[in-house]
Amino acid sequence: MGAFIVRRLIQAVFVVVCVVTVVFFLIRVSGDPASLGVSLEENRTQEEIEAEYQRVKEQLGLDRHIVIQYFLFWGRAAQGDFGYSFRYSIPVTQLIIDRLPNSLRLGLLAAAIGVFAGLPLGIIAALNRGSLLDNLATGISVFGIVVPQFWLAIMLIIIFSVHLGWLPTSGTGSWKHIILPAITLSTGLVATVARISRSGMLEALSQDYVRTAMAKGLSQRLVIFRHALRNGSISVITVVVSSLPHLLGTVVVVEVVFAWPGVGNLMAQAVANRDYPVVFLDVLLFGTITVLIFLIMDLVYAMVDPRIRHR
Amino acid sequence: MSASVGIQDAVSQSRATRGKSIWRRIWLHRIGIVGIIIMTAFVIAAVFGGWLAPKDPVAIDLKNPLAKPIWADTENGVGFLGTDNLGRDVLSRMLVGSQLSLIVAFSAVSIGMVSGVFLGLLTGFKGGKIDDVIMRIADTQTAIPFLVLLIAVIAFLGGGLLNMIVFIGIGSWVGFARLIRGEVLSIRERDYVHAARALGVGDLRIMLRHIMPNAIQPAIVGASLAFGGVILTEAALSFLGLGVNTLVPTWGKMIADSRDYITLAWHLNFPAVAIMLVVLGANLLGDWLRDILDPRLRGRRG
Repeated sequence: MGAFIVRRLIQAVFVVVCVVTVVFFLIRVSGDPASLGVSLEENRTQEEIEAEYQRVKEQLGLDRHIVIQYFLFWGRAAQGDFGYSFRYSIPVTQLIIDRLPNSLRLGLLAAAIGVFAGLPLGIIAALNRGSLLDNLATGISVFGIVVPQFWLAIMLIIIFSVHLGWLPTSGTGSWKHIILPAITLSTGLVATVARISRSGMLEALSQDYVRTAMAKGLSQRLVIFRHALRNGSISVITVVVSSLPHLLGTVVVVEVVFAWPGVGNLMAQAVANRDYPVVFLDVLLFGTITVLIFLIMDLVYAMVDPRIRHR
Repeated sequence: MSASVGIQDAVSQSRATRGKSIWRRIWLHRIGIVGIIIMTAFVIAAVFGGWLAPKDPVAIDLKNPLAKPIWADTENGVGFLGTDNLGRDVLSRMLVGSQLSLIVAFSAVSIGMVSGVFLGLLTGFKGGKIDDVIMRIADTQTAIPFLVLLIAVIAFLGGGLLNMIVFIGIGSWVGFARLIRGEVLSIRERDYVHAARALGVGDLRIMLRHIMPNAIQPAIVGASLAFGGVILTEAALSFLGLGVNTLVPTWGKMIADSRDYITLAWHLNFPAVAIMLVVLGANLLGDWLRDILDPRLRGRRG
């Protein structure tokens, strides 16, 4: 187990290093970041602008060779220094740290909704196969896959905020603010979890051990929760975890529509402002979170299933 | 003798049922047929959209903003699907907008599929160092959520139609490569591959002639599903203002533009309905292709 953890950790770190490298060079080939750091206020002479340009260039270390820049970057990154935001003139790390809790709360709530709404939906559908309930559950999961999230968000705002007046349209403050964004973010996950748990349940119900349990006279509830569900849970966990990167991607859209002050919204703003240090660290953050999620999933699997460790 | 009669019986029987059951088989595949109809309608709208559009999609008519569809309001209604906040004809904009969606989705999926299939064949067949390198690149790419990666790349390298197609296309190679690689790993040990190699057939020929035709099916299904995904991605990017930056309307941009007016005019939701229909069509088509391409699933109903 120890060797497996070490190997898997090294792999994860390697991927993060690759992500950093790729994004780093991507930014450098994309143009001249220094020119973006120069404020183009009016009534400044050409010399003043030129001087500030040089100053920004030196400050960012852009006058050095790109390979040296790359290693200097790692040196600063090791000290937690990822530069300053062009727009807000405060450390990028500070911007991200301020907004990360909001995004985590939103993401975790959406994941919870996905599991706790999708699972019963799939199980009920499987137990009532071919019934109206089953068709309804299928309909919901199809809708969750085909609907553009940004449009769903607008519709929810119109229904629950504008017409019914139950929930606020956007922003943060009370617990009410998080409900609509979380629901919007969870739709894809609800759909996927419902579909997978339905087919997993159907398969489990046809297995011998479930039939044996039924034949023993165990109550249906006990059979479902003790036998069928427990064996189907692995595939549900796999699906939830592997759809998390997609969820992280939609975070950007959902946070923008609801003006939710999270890292996704920050990224969209930074892109609009060409605030490249912020975009850089934000992409890195999304990448690191994804790598961490998969790392944890693999470690949990290895604990549950000894065969994986020896692969 | 009796065995051959038995086979003939079986053959004629299956022919008979096959002949009789054509309607039954259409009924069995009704979902797929719905998918085909939706996709055909979408392709027709996209290809002939310019001619079909009743009005100029960018012509502004400030005398008739947010007019209802003619069939919902016979007195003041304008156009079959009404007008937007600047009085532009919604139907015409949607027809022209479908063109861009189709071009982006079709080209991006093609790029993703061709590169993914090729790299999947290469890694699966060659193994070793090439496999390691390509799959590590794949790992790196999947470590960044797709939409986040796209937003960043478009922010750094610029948007535009061609860039968007290339980025989404390159972004989707990983899925195809993984699908194909998995198939190739099992196929490359089959007898016919060994036989071909024993006959002195070259690697490239083995890959393209013997392995690819047997490994391509999941990629075809994947392409259909990816098509729907690209439509949604393009719409989301347009909504965020990072889409194709032209006068040409896209469905995502139409929704973004009409965001503030949607409470006043329900007909501004038609682009969203169109997006959902096309994504649904692509998914239905994909499911149907999986059914008919994979005999193991034939007859099994979800």
